[in-house]
Amino acid sequence: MSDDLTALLVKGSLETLYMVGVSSLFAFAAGLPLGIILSVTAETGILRNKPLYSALSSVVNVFRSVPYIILMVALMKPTKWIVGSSIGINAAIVSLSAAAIPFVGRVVESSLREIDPGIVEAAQAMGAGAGEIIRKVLLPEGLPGIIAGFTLTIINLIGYSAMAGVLGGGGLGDLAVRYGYQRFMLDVMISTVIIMVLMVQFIQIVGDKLAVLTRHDRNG
Amino acid sequence: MIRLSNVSKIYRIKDPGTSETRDFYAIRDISLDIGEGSIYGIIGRSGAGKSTLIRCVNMLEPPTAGRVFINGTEMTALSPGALRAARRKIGMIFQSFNLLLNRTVYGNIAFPLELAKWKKSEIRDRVREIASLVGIEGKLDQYPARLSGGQKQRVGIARALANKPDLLLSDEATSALDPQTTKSVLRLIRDINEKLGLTVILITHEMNVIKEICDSVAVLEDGEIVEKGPVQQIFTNPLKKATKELLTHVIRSELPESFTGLGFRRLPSGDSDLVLQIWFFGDIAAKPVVSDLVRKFDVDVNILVAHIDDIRSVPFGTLIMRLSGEDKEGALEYLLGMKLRVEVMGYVGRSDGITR
Ligand SMILES: Nc1ncnc2c1ncn2[C@@H]1O[C@H](COP(=O)(O)OP(=O)(O)OP(=O)(O)O)[C@@H](O)[C@H]1O
Ligand SMILES: [Mg+2]
Repeated sequence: MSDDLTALLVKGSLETLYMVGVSSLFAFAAGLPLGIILSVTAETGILRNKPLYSALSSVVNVFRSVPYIILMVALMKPTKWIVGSSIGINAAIVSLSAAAIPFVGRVVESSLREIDPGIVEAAQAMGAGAGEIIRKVLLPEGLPGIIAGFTLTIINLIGYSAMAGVLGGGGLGDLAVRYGYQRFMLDVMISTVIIMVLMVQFIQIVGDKLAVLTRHDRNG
Repeated sequence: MIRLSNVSKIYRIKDPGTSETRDFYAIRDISLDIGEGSIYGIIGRSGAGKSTLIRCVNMLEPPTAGRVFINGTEMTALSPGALRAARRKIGMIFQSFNLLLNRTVYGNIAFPLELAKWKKSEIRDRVREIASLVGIEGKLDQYPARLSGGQKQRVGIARALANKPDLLLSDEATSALDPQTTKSVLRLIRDINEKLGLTVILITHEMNVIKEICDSVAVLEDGEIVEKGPVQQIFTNPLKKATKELLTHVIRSELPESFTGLGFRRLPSGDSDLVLQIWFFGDIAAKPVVSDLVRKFDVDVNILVAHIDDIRSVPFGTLIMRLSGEDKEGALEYLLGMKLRVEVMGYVGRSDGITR
């Protein structure tokens, strides 16, 4: 493989890492509070609020039911307005975040929902307020599930970012399409696939490890 | 002192048949006075409303009507903030322990102290102190998943006691434990009650638990209190059917079926034998009642059922016996004159094969 190609692969990898990294950060920063609000306002939550829950839940469902590729196209206008361009890696970050935030919200909600309501009730009986319950009970008890959800989110984002590449988003996906597919350069195609597989493997292993390290609710 | 006055909890439930909603009284018009430092038991079958009642005390379930006072504070009238502060002085333990699974034993016991804003160093000392009081000091670094049921409940108790509460609520705290462990956990609660003068309200469906540690007991049936009083009184002189049924598990006071099949007669006929049940409590249990009877009167005594036990180290028991011979009535008179509860169950013909 020529030095040119190696440089291309490095550049593509860095772009992918950048897109996935930044959109993951946005996804966690907004998805975590979203998930907390969903879980505490739900029917069984500590701050039950049916209108708020229904409203948020519907929005989340809408975003989650739109396939990413369509979301990306649909968001072109607002993207241009936010980052100044509707293509490129910064543009991709907008649609990647928009896809990942509702996903993280649901993942967080379902992790918190799995916590035994008896534990929350015990905290209430001890005089804990809503904020204390969120900080000291829900988040620590739900942490392993949240970490597993984050891991899944990042892996999904790696896949989506390749799709974004097809629409001129840059990164490994872009590379695979332009060189591997359009110019029949099989080595580029294979290299990008290998790099992406390695990235996914790495994230999965680290995520699993963290989830295990933070999980103490099983005997073993 | 804890006072409940006319407390009711109503749930709106959907009638499965008509799908209309209607009011359902989980508890109805409950009034109770619970003395400081006592262990008050509330017993009833599943669905009687026990959990609802105890949860009304700390407002986990705000009553629909009625008022709850704890040491003069009206719980039912507190603002949310004041209620949280009041709850910090009420410990609660649960059937399923409800420990934080991602915190160590230390972290669990420290939890209520963090809520009460104790200093780190004070928390450390208090956790150590309370852990050794409940006998869990060797497990402070363990996570709950690694503990046995009895150990988990000890952690639950330590957590409930950490912030020096005035009141301990226990909702079936021993129901998930084996009999041996149940005994040791109950003994721990008793010890703490004596050492710290802590008032305890304890819910159970087992009379054994009441017998083991309670001073007073209220019997709950279909959301209402049907009978209440000191434990000895309820055990030795239960008035209501619900109470008697709950007691049959602790006191075998019924004739075995091979006897009941014979049929009692209400009135004596010819030289039929008298079957009676006596209940005794306290000193009298130590007296040789039966041998006195045989010595003083011309009767033979055949004991059919005997049960002796103790309520907090005061002996009590029951005997079902068959009297035959000339002076049965005199013997009965004699028994009635003693401090015993005597119940004539009936008469059986001499030839009926009760004697074996
Ligand atoms: N949130 C609720 N909505 C409707 N009905 C309820 C609710 N909570 C309890 N009940 C009903 O109130 C009654 C009393 O329930 P409670 O849990 O107090 O019984 P319990 O005596 O504690 O029973 P157990 O021994 O099974 O725990 C039951 O018939 C139950 O179905
Ligand atoms: Mg119950």
